[in-house]
Amino acid sequence: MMEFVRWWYGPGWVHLVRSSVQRVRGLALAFSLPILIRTLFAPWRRIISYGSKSFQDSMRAALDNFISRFVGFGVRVIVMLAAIVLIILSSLLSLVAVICWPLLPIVGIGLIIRGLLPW
Amino acid sequence: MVTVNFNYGAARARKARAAQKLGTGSQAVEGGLLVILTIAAIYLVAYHHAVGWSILGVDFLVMALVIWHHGDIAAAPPAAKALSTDSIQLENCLEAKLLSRLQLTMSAPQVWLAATKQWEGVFVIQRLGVPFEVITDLLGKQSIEAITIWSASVELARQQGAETIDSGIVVAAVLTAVPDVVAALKHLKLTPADVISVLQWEQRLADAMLQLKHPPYFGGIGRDWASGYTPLLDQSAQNISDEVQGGRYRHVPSVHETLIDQMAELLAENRPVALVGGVGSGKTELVYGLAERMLEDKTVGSLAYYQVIELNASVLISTGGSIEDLILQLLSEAVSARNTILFLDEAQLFFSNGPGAIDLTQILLPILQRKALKIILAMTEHDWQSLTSHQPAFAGSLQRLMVAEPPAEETLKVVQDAAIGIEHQAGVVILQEAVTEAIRLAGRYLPEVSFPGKGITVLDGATHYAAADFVTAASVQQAIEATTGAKVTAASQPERQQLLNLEDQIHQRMINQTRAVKVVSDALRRARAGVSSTKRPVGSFLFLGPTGVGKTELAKALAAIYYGGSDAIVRIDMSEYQQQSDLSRLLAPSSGKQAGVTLASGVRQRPSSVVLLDEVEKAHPDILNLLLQVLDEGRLTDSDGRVVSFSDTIVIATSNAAADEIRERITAGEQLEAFESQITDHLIESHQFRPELLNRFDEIVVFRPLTQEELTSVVSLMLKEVNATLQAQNITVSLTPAAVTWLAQTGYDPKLGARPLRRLVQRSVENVVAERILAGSLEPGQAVTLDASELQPKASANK
Repeated sequence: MMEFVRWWYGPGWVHLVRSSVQRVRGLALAFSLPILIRTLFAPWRRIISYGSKSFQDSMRAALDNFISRFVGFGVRVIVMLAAIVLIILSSLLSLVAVICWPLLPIVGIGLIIRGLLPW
Repeated sequence: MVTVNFNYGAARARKARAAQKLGTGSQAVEGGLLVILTIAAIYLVAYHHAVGWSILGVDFLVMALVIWHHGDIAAAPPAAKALSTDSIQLENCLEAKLLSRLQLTMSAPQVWLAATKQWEGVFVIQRLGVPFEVITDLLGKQSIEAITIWSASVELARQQGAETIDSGIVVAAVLTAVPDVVAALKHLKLTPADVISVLQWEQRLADAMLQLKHPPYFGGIGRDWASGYTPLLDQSAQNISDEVQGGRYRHVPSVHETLIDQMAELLAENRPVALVGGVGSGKTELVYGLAERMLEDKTVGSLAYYQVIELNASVLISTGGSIEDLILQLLSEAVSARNTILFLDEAQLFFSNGPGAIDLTQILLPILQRKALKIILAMTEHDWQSLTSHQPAFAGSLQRLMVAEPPAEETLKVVQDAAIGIEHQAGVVILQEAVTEAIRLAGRYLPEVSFPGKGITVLDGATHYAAADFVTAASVQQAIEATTGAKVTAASQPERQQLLNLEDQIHQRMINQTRAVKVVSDALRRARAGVSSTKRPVGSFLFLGPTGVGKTELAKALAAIYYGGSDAIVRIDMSEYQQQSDLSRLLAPSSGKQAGVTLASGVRQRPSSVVLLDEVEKAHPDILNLLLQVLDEGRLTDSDGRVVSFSDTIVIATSNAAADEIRERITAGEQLEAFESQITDHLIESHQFRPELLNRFDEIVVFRPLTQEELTSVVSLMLKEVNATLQAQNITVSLTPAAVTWLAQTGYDPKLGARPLRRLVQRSVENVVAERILAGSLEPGQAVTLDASELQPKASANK
């Protein structure tokens, strides 16, 4: 019994906090957040144009490249937002779990007593 | 002084036993229980049954216990640095499953039994081919205490840098620390070094299995969004990075690690890399290692998440259309993608000038000079030399990295690790003895291929010779025998008898020359008994004597008896190599239609054969120098730079030098043994042979001229050959004594020995028989006896 209590309120609780942090970090990596931030304004899949000497072609190439970068930016921002939402949700759940962790055995015992008592 | 104790009641020991009892199948029970409790609690609370709260409380407590089980009890991590103190507590440093099997008091056999129930222990025993029961019995008969095994295990774990003691370490400790067990292993040709090697193999496998539980991170979903599309490359090339990501490759750390660093540095600077090394040295594996490192973003800086794509020349050629256009498009894609490293394996195929080949140098050179493309080429040293001589500008633009064979201990590790994959594919178990034998025999019989590749190839081939699903040293030997024709396996009983009676068998084919037959037979017996050096040829002999006394015949007899066929002979007439310029002809890697068999090509085609060098004294001195290397080291390098092994050949050089002196002395009645050494001295003094060459032969054998009596025996042998030819027609020919004497006298020439005799037998005996067959006077199933009077007219008519 003491083994359980020692682990639950010691290494077990610490392990929960660590694994929560790992989960959040794993989410950020699965969504490639560091890469997306680094390449936020990069053209989408390197679809780029090279203008010729004429002004008109150069302007068209610049516009194409702007569109490519804009598409890339848009997709990345959407994915980053989705990742951030998931990370926030995961963090909140983890926070709840960390807070509830020490209460779980106490609440369990309390509920058993509650069910046995005549009120 | 290290003390080792075990506290049976310690928390970790109790947890380990509890985890063992709960087993691995408890998850389903726990999950089911939680679901039932939760549903029951919700149902009862919903219908205002107060007991529902109690059930919910039990549910919470069960949940907490389940979490405890998986988070603490089942994991049971060992204490940190438990092996670094002088007072060792086993419950802190044993692997959990092994710990769960420990009892309060244990004998040495019980410890052994406990350790051999885990896969790690089974692995060590199985790979060593150690009979489990024998060791158990030995431990039972000994007065060894369990503490001895534990102390040895602790010491071994420390030596190996292990953080825990698993059952593999305990088994290895028993096999290396108990004297009687060590002695028993010695009978199985196993040393403590073999045991440690297998233990390290097990530890690496355990690490690899642990790594599988933590798959590496390869960049996530947005990794390639900043790089270009590569549809054509995806269609026409092989994506090595995808293979790595799919788990089809795991680099073995420590092998060629520095080369991967250098490759990464050069590629980061857009400098093209040429990996130059022998076939099998691990060039392709290096590229896979780099791909893995880039995918994991490990110490590669700007190369993070680059992908390696391999272009295959034969695939590109088979696609049809304009190869140049296709390659230009592929290169363009690779350049614009900005995350692609092209890999040209067997790169020489891309730079050939022959028909149907591709020459990319003109296309690639400007791209490489602009540093617009990251590219890796892999080729052999010979191909690199060819490239530097034919395309110096292109070769100059490449940064060469030499891929040498790894050291022996690394080779062993790589082959061991590869064995696991081979086992998986072939459904066999590969023993340590098979691994070491594969390396040993690959080193001897595959000189053209490099380690570790050739060791793996041999091991792979040996799976076809597995006995009861076990690949042993014998399996490897059989595989080598099948592929090279060399005699590797131990001599069987019939072969032993054959070797012991070798002289008799040779004398069935040739007359007298007893001393020559004896020295050659002795050499063969030494080789097959494993007494002689395995690096030098099986035997090397210089046969001296007049023409027609049996020198060539002895060589042919050896080929037939020892190598299983009179065609197992590589015959080189050294009188055709009198100029220095003839050296290249002798070393030509393959024989053209006009060139005939060269020394290099002949031995490469038949590595187990008699190499007969006729009239050796007539060859140019530089060519004779080459012979020194063959006799000394059992190998030579052909003009393509490839090594040819002579370690399974019998080298016989013949010479007519001093033939007149030998004949004169024998005619004068001198005994051969009395003047043999004088003949050798004479050859050196007359500068016909250099002493360093003569000294390198195992034996210098002087053949003496045949006597008249011996010539009659030669006639009998030749008649046997005639009868063997006529056997198909069921015709038997015999000779009267007068005919034999006449043939022996007429066919002998003091200068040419017995050589004219064969022509005489052809002219007389064979012609008489042929005419009678055609005339119908000699029919199948009949026998004929010929007299001298019948042979004489025929012989004189044909002169």
